[in-house]
Amino acid sequence: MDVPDWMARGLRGAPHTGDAELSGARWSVKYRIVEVEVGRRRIGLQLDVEESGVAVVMRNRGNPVGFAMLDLQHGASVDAACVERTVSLATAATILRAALRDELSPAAPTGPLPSLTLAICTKDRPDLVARCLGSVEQVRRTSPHRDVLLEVLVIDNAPSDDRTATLVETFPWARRCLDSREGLDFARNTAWREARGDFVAYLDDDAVLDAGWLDGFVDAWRRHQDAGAFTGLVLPFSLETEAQILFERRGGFGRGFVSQRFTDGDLDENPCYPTGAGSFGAGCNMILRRELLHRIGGFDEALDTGAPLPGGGDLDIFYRVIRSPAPLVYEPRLLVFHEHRRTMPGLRRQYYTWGLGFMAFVAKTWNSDKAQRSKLLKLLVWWTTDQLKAVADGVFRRGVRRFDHTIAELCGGIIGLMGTYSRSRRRSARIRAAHQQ
Amino acid sequence: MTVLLPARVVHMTLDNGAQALTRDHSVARALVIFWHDGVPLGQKLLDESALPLSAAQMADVAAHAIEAAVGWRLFSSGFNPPDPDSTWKILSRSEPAPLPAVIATTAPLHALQEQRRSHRDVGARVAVVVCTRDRGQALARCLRGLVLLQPMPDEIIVVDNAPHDEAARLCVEQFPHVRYVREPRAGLSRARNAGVRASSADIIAFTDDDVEVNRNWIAVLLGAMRDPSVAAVTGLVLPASLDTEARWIFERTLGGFGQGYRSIRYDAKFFEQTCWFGVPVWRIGAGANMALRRSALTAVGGFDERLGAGASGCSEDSEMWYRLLAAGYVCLYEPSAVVLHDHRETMRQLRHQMRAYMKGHVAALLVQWERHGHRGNLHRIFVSIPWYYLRLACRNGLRLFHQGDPTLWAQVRGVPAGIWYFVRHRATANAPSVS
Repeated sequence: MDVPDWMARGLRGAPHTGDAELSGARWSVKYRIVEVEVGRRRIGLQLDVEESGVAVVMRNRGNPVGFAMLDLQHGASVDAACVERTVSLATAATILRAALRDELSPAAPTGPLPSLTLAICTKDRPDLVARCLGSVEQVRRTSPHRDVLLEVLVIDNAPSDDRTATLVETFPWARRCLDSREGLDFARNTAWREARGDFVAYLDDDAVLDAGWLDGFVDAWRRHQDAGAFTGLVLPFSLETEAQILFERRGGFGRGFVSQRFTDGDLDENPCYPTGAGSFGAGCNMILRRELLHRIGGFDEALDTGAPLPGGGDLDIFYRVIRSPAPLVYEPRLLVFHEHRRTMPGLRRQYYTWGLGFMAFVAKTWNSDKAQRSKLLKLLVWWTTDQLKAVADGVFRRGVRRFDHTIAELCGGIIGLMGTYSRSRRRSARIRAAHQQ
Repeated sequence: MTVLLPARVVHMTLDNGAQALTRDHSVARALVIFWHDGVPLGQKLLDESALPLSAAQMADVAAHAIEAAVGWRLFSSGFNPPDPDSTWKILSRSEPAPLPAVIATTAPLHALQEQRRSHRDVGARVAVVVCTRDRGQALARCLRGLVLLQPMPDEIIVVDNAPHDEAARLCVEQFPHVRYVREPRAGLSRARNAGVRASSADIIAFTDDDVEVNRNWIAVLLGAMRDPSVAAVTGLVLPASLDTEARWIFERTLGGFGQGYRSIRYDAKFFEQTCWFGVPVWRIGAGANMALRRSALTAVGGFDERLGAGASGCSEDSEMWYRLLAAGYVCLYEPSAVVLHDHRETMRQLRHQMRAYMKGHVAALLVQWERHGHRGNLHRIFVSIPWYYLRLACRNGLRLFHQGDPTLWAQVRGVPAGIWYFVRHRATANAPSVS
């Protein structure tokens, strides 16, 4: 995965000062995240002494139009001209594209809007759920389309105490559903079975909604009323540790500022399409049509349900939506902020589960969708080449991917090939059986 | 299962907003070309499985496809195409766009139309020269397009090159405004030179018998010629159809003739920077869509008669641009000047054409080296081209990610053929005077 173009441009525009004299004082890295409204006059920035860079979230009349990270010295100052240059390089094309789109679009249809159930799946993290529900409350208060948001569910997944239950009681509009089977995809399946809305939005407990999220959904739905799923932009909630900065540098969960529509079929420029499901979006910010979930049997409970297989659930559901076949739409206005792993071991583990989840997805699809085998093979070759390149980059300390992270991902991938998926299937079947009794 | 045609070409006018596109089950893909107010602004290749798209969905696709060209036309910076020599510099450093102006532009296409309306005057006399050989039917179609041009060119001259029959003459007789000139010696360069000699205009536009010109073709070429330093203008060549495998391969795998939707200025700086590895003049455009200033032609001489279809195979056009650039003139690629080209229909014809292209290209490099002594031309023949084909052959061998190029061998055979052609014709004709 390359650093997105818009981010690279932001970096190039930055006065990279290196870490010459302050290198001894580099006790920590921490980025400040600033929001910039492009139409306003630019002002300079003065970093605090513990801050080593800045991440700029750019908006045009509230809509997200760009994101850039500037790596600076501790306590450096950035003048207004540099900020202006960064903002212009990152956003000009996106702003023009939005204007063109408005000029070319026919009048927006006025008809009944669909209803939406927002589901937050969580396990023993009431503080995060409180923060998440706070952002939902803001959307409920300010959005002109608040009626679309029919209900908010908090899926309390195998809780070890009643803290989450107590917390949810303080939000009268939220409903708590208990699911005692431990595992994210169990909780996700409970969510759509409990939901009443036409669409089910899944939000991770470590993410918060942007104020324009619901309006972004309505806008995307008006254009793509046939879509089976929507995914959206994910930007960092905080960049306070090296792990978070490294993760975002590598591209994070971001998928850029161009809205896209994916359908089943072939693409000339991507011979693996649509098996490379990672490019469709991220599981921490996705909206799925409930009726479609019902039809395709919901999430695969062998994936994303803790050890031995804690990942790959989002890849699998995106891929199955596309193959169902239903269009999948990526809309940058559907924005959430996600708090990435804070510690380096946590990040390493994340890359490990990516490798594992990816391979489990490939292994599963190899058997379930035989028509796509040649594409899966190409995907495997691409993935391996990409990882080996990253290993070489890590050895020579080029690029943004660290050696140990790549090794973790590669190991995850190799283990994922060795029957993990079928083991996990048996395990999830056991859990289901135990809970039915 | 029926075999799908490779692709269809869809021209979509955005004057009244984007339009819905339905699915055509007989083809595999749709190449959608977006136009606004007679100007092509971008294209997007869609797999038919992505269709149908509603008007609102198409607006999304179109906006993304045309943003670069619209931004380039509206703003002085920020949307510039990479430098022509960026092959070696990888990234051209472009100044950021004037953000307040971008934000203030709420209806970019309307602004573009206003900008264009402010200058629309034509002064110089212009002639159109069409060279043809034994393709009566194609010629008739080409001429039917030419007589519809707005404004009409002052002269239209058909040069019949060493014909085997009277078809071209009979065809021309049906068009009262068109003059017929016969050039008995075979070779496109000879025909082009005969056309220049037969005309009296200041600007001579060339096209081929297998193209169809856009209605404002001449107006755009003349507009680009307003700058007196510009000696040659080329334009966008779009595929008329992509209904056979050969046409599809030519357009996609081999790159076709198109050079993008933003105009590019090739000047002395470009020539200097790229001279050491062979100036990539073939990227300037195509002889099926170009105009030359007579004064520049008089100064540097006519087309080299060893080159071109019917002689070496091709590249009489790019050798002319090379000479003009070397003499300090400017060549301009202006994508608003559009012609539709009929690519070769069968694989056999395509292979033949690709061999001729490579043969002509190599011969032209040697002619350029002979005329100017620039070693970069030899660098290209003996370093760049072998390296390129070696890499391509390896990738073709893998056949995993890249669709193989079935004309590869034909192209490779063209290289020694070009060298041999040059050796045999070393002492013969040079660029003749055209005045």
